[in-house]
Amino acid sequence: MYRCHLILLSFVIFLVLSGCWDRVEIEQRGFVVGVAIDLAEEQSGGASDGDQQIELTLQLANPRGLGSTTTGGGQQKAFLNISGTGSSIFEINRDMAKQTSRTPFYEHLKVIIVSKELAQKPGLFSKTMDTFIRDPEMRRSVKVLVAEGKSKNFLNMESEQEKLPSLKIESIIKNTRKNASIIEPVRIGKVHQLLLNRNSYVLPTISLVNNKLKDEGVAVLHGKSNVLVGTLNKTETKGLNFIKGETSSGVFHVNVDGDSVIYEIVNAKSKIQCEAKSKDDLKFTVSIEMEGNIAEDYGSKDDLIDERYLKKVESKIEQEIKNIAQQTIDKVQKELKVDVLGFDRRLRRTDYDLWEQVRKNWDRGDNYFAKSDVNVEANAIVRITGVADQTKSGIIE
Amino acid sequence: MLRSRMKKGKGSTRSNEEDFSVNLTKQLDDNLKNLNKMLDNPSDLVIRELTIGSANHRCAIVFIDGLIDKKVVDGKILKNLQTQLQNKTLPSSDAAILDEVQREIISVSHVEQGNTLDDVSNSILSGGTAFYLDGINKVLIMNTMGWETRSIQEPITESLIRGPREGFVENIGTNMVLIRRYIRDSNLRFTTYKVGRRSKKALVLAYVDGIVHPDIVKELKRRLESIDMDDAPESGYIEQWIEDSFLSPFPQIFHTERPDKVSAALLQGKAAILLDGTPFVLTAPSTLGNSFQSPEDYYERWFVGTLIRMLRYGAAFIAMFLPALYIALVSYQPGMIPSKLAFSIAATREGVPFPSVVEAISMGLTMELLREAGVRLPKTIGQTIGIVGGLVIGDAAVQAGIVSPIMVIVVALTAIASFALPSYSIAISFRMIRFGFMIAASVLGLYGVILLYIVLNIHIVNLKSIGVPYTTPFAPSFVKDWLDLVVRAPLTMLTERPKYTKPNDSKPMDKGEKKQ
Repeated sequence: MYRCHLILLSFVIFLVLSGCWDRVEIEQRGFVVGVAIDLAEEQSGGASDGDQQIELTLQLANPRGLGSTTTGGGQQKAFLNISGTGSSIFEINRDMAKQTSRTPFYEHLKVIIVSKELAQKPGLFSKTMDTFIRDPEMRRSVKVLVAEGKSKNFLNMESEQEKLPSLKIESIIKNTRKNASIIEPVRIGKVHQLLLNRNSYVLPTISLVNNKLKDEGVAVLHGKSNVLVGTLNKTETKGLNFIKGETSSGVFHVNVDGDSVIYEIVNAKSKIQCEAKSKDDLKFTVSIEMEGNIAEDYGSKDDLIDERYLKKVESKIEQEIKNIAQQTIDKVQKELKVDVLGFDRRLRRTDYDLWEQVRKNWDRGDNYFAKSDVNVEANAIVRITGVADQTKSGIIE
Repeated sequence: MLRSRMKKGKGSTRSNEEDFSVNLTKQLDDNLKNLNKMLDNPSDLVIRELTIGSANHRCAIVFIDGLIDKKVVDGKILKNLQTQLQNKTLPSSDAAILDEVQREIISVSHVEQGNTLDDVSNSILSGGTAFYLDGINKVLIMNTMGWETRSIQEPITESLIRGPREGFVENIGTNMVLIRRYIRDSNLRFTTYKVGRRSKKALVLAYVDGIVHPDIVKELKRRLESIDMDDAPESGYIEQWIEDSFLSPFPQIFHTERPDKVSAALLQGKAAILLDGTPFVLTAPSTLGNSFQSPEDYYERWFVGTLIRMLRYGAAFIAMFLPALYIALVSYQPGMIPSKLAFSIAATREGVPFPSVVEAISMGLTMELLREAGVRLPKTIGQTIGIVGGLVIGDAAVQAGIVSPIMVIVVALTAIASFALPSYSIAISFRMIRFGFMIAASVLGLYGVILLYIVLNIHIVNLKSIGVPYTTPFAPSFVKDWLDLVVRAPLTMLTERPKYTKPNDSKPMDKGEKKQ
């Protein structure tokens, strides 16, 4: 009987002593929805130990301000931004607990915005990402963005439909399906993989124009050093998407006989072929295949059913695709000299021995990437011309 | 009609003073005096003395007023004795007279001879009538039972949209008839017992010989024979006496008011236990899967039956886990709630003074209170009080900021889900276990919920109902029986009896035959 009581007592003690230690009620948590990382203005830290001082800004959601009907929100602000400066994210984070009554809770984090300046400093980008990758409280699905200008400004911008700027940013960058000139959001899990690989990569960039969010272009980061080496503009990003075959939709605009035809991409595929004779004679062929619809036709003088006219439209589109892709290749290969197109992987699969020879000097050192020949081929198909053949020419009377 | 051996404490109802004889004597007066002494001159004991035959042979009929059907006693016994035997020359031997009365005079179907005073007292106390004849130490015992009973009504606790409307009543005879009307099989067996040292209630074990596994009947008989109590007012007494584990929160023997359910169970190779005085009939062995089955599943087409049954599994999950999951997610793992929902929960909880577990347990208790109060109150106000009380308390508590509105939704959903289960007793156990899960969730979060779930699983796979594992056909897997478990396959596919009861006769049933 005594033994029995002892066992029972130990069970109770287990429960009471171990239980509840990490219980934090939901309303006591500070939900971090957005993080902005900037370089600190120099005067504060004074670079005491040579480390670059960084400024961390957290956007905490204020549930009450988000306004459910019962709590009558709206008077309160929906979010609270707090900033801190220090030499490591974790330290700043701990320090920030002093600024808010609610302990920051990262499991609902949506976006991490890194300023371009920070990403340009050697080693700093990977350093700042470390805690977001390492900490078990962080989700692998957090989106990582590069910001033009001060990234903390993005957390203060106007966001009409969403009450939280972070949520607005998150939902806008997910709109890739409607726009060919932005790339798929990059999640922190992917960043982890990119940091571990030696491949160069791109991150989506955002910028503020008149306190309005603009989402276009990408930042190009060098694989070995993880330093931002340049950015691609809207058109170049489109070209990047074409080459990598990552566009599933998007619109572009061609000129046929002086009239605009708007082509809506429905399906795009690309294939990179590699002809590797020696390390100084590398030839890549990018074939882009595209299917799409005629969304708008300002000309309409000619019959869309007419095979010849359609062929003309298609060849125009092909020309346009080639132009755009070539523009991207020129920029990436000749100017930035960084392989974000995935040619390295293709070469590795085609001729592994050769790849082993050039691996260390692929887009650095001798830079065989920049020296290789790239050829672009395009094939565009118009699948649907729409339900109208002509809309304004005077044929039907 | 329910004559059978008396199992226990034979003759224990007698008082200690042995001033009367246990055996019948040949003297009518002595016999009557003995009977009166044994029962201590009750005011409702009727002794009607009369003389029969030309020789004016003395005799008497004895019964207890109120337990007998007056029409039978007056019309079929007394009248016949007085008219047909008047001036008739009776045989010379008393035994022959008794024989003639039994064979020719009394127009009651159940008549037999008794030899002891106990036979007489047992019979008249359960509505029989005894016929004493002077000069012989034997009596005739006639079944004249007849008292006010409730007529067959729709079962209140198990009403259906579609299905037979008749339910069991308190009278065991009627209940047996109801079962017989469903199964007109010569192999339907009724084994009668008497339970209760004092009450001597009739208890009937029903099964279909040739379908049921003999071990089940053997085990049930063994357990029924072990019952030793004064009275069994309700079949719940029997259930608790013979169940496998009294420490388990789960009912191991289910009860029903519906004859169709019982007959279906009998045809599945189960046994039923009927007790006089209660409309609730026990069916054993029962499994967890049975608690999700309702006769309506079979009466509706199989799509409907399957969907409704899946809905019940969902309801059981909600009834058991929802408040615990809410507590775990809100207090420990808010990262698992979708962001916007998490923010809105946080917003509604702001200003609530209690941790979510206190909130959940107090609301859960309030819910149980309302349910209990609703049962006690008269039917007409009961419903109103229940609804109004729930609304007022819920709404006012939210307005006062004591509980969050989401908590009210959680509690209400849990209550509704638990009442959606067809078996009231299993719904109660689920609601009970729910509190355990809440505490587990409040101590260790989702981890605690999972731990307790594992503990519970260990328990129910260990649990048995009359030797049949409680989780069959899930855990000892009988894949064929899964056709009628979570899904309810078309009746044309359900032609075999369930395997888990190991029926003796597992050959296909007639197509289209009702089966539960």
